[in-house]
Amino acid sequence: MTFSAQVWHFVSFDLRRTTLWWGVYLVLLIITPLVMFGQPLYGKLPDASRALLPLLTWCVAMGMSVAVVQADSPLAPTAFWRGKPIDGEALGTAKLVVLGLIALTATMTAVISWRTMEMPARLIVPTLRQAVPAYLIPILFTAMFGAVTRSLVQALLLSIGFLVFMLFLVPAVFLSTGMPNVAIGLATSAWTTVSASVLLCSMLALAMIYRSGSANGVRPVRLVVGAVFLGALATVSQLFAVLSGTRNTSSSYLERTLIRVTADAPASMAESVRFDSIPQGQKVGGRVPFTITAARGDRRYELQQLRLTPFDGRGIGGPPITLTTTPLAVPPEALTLPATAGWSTDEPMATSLTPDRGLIYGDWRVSETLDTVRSISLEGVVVRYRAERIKVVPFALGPVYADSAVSIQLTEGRNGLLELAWTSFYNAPDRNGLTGGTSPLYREFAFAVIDSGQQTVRLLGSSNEYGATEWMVLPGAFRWVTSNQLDYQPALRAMLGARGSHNASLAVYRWVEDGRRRVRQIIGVDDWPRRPPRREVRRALVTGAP
Amino acid sequence: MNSRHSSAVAISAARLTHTYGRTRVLHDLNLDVPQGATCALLGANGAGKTTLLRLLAGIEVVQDGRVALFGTDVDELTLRQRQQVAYVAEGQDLPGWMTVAQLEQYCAPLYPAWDTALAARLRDRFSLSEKQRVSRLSRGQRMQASLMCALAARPRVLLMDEPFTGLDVAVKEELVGGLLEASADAECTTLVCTHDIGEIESFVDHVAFLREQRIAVAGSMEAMQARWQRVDATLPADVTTDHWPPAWTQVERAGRRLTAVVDRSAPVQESETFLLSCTDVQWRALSLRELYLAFGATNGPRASHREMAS
Repeated sequence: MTFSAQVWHFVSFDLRRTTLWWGVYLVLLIITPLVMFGQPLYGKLPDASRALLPLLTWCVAMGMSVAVVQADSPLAPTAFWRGKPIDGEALGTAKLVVLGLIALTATMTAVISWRTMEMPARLIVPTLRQAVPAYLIPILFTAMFGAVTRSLVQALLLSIGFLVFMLFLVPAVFLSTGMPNVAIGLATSAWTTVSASVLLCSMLALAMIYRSGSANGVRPVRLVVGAVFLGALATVSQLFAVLSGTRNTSSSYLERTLIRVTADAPASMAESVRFDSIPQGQKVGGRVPFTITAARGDRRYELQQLRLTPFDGRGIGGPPITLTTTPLAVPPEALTLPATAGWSTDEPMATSLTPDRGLIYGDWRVSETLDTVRSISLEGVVVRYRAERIKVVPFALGPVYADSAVSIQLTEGRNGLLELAWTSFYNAPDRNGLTGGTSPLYREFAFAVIDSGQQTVRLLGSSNEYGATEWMVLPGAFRWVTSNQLDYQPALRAMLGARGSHNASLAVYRWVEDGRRRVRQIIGVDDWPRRPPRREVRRALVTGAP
Repeated sequence: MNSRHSSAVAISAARLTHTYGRTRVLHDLNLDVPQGATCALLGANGAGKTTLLRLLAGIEVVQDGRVALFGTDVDELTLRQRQQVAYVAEGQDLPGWMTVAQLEQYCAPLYPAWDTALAARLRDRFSLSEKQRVSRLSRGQRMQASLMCALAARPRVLLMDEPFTGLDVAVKEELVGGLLEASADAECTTLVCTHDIGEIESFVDHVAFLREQRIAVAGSMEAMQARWQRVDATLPADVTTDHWPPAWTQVERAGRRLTAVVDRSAPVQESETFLLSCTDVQWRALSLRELYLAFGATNGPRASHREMAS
């Protein structure tokens, strides 16, 4: 029997053995999105009961992982596979395959769910980059604990305890320092490193446990302890790097910054290029080095960025260039809310942007003319949005920054009428001994509701004294909003606090043709909960008519 | 050594020492089982029989010394060689979710020499239903299922750890029957450790006694029974001594009747001289049970084991 034949043999029997588990698991995977997003249940079930479904799904997935591993325990000398001519490596590989299938099934179900909600295909892969580790880590880690324990409950308790520790250690430490937002931005990338470390450690440990094939119990336990230690070490090292202010500035910057070539007037942009390397955690007042990766025309550039930090640029070929820092958006005073619906005073802000890798990652490429919209700030409003297809629920998971007041969080979007198209920034001073600076990974929740004719957009965002969310609305491209990015990054949730929900923005526009370009007509603003939405706003949302 | 056995050694252990923490269970143990032999490994509880079998089965890692099957160290056996080894142990977990048929399906691909017909025959003999779930089998039936899987593999080495423990007489008979049926035509070397000496006496042809962490005595039954014999005799009326020849052990005296186990390979002169004065002298071969009491039981009468160890 070849190695691969053995693997398949064990996989097939493991699948047969866990038929009941799989049945429950698949049912949960299927009904969860239906209950969460599908009509007629959408919005009708209490949040708590709806939250139980994903939780239950995870419990089943983790329980299944333990069952799969403990069925052929590498620790028990009385295990059936002991004394059989079974290659430990083949058995371990088979276990990893089954565990992978558990994660893959959840992933595929999620992808189907995303596609059902018209998530653009281009977003699937970047989203999966976050989703797959999020699925795999609990499953593998639970399996690893299952391999060195004898009971399901024991393994689950150990796993859940450790995962909760890992999930909340990073944000909790940062939050305790009193500088949550910057910290969270940093913690996001720290979490990525930690996730990868934990994933790798648990996978290797599991493989080694089966490979070692020792029934003495010493080696497997040592391996698990080693894996846990490495995972914890990865976490602590990230924490230490950030807390000590020594974290290097070479982390990848997904949300690339735009600059535009300005030949004459800022408004007549000829071309846009990108640059990389916006470091995290830089000193306030410091300068951000960057490199222009592509440029044509006049080598005078204007930054299209809200960052307040001065920039030092180096163009192609090396010579320093002159940059003018201007905000991407119109200053707030230019967005004075009209007393009645009327024409927006906004001016076109940028050239058109076509998503390169994905809107949510802010990696852009120039293609056509675009009107850029800024949201309107409504001071002091805590937004509660109860539109039919969007629900904002109280922040419930993770440590809450600030004074544990009511906060908001976008949790769901559906029907393919939503599009998240935002960039965000964060810029904070040093505080409490922590290095502040910009945080490109700071992500605010935000969403837009577009009517079926894709002519009306409704936006919701938030800002605070350190950061804001920038809107870039792409006419004709409205499709989907995902909050999955938030869902998959627990650390990000912590930033949604009362303070974070101040200055929430809410406006309704209608896109109209104005000569050669499309401009927005503001048709309404909500300032709930102070007063109910205006009739025309409600009508616009329901019918799409202005 | 039985004539049907080749001179090749199928199972061997040399200078084997094994510890659990600070507890040493095997010390400097040596054992050779010739190919084709059916060897009983006997010893008191905690003597290290199970550990030795686990070491042979590759379940435990050899700490010190050498354990080999077919001349190859256990930890260096190829998968092909391991496919010629079957291990059955009391208390071994069985996948309870499987049916008996699924159990066969699971095991069959693992052994190239799997004999489907034999499996079916044993299943019938043991009255196991294909559709029966393993979890619903009785203890005896589980052992039968284990044995069925082990024997159908047509192993060259069969290791059995307490296969008869806790089983009723009828099931034991069935197991033994199945064992005999399967091993009769095979070049199978069997090492069985058990306390059910009566069950195995009919078919073992070798025996090894594990005592004080090492093999005290080992050899073929034929040789053992030729060497160790029980003598019954009536002492002369005037004999009052309790000083017996050194080759004698397990000496028991009731009035003038005397019974003892005698090492007949030892110099006979002293025994013969002593027995000349006795009447009703009868020699007979020792049963396996008597051999065990002489060499395997911890609390049994002690002989000069150091001398006896071969």
